[in-house]
Amino acid sequence: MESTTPLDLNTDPSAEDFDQAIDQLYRTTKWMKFLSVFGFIGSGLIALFGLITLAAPGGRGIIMTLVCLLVAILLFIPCRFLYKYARGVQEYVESPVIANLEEAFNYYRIFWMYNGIMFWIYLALTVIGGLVGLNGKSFTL
Amino acid sequence: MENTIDDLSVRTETGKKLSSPVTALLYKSTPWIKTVAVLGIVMGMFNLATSVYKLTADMPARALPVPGLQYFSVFAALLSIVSAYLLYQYAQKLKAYNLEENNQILREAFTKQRVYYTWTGVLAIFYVVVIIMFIIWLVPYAMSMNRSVMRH
Repeated sequence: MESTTPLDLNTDPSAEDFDQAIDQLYRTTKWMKFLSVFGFIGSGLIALFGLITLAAPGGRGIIMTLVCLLVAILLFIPCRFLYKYARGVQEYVESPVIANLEEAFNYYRIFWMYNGIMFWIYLALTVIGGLVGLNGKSFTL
Repeated sequence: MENTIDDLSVRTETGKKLSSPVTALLYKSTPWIKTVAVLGIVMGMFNLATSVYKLTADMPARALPVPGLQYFSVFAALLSIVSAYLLYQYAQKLKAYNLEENNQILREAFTKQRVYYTWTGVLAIFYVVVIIMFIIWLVPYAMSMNRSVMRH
């Protein structure tokens, strides 16, 4: 038989605490959905801006378009994971089946892993950019 | 070897067995959340330091397109530190849950998560308002700059 409360197998079997935890999670899903839709709109606008700059004269337009499209894709991916996480939690509340919650938390794990990796890449690029900038300044001096 | 989601016998670094796949997924997410939170605090501090440095350095007023922009960057850095700190608090609660697997701690963790997402959502609305105000201010500014260039 499938259990409907996957976390109450724990040392503290308090079903009330578990229900309250799920309630907190459910209340958060509205903000999660809002933020992910916000991100979808943002990535769409960035992509649109990139396509508009395609009309700019010279080779800069194409580079700018490619950069904008890349940023739009990179922004779209975590928003999709966040949306799927929120949707999964809502589905679990609507029909309490463990599979729904497992799927939701798997998206949640991927969402944070993606954010963590992107943060490291961003930090590395910032440091490299800073070093290149300093090097450039020392050359000009 | 990496444990799969369906593997019920995921163990923590202390050798403790986790009771369910959902708990295991939460356990696997925790280091990434903590990474983002800690890096966020570090970067926020760095941004704050550079903003304060720029504020104290003698900068020509004309270099800034919007008056008070230098103060806003300090404010934005402080807001990002608050965000990262809220996320850090959530990560700490989640870590405590991974150790004890107590549903009360899980409830507290999800409450922290709710606080973090509410704050982030409100911040997103705030930044949209700021961007709209910036555009409203920037368009007449750009037009006036264009007119002064044409005059010369």
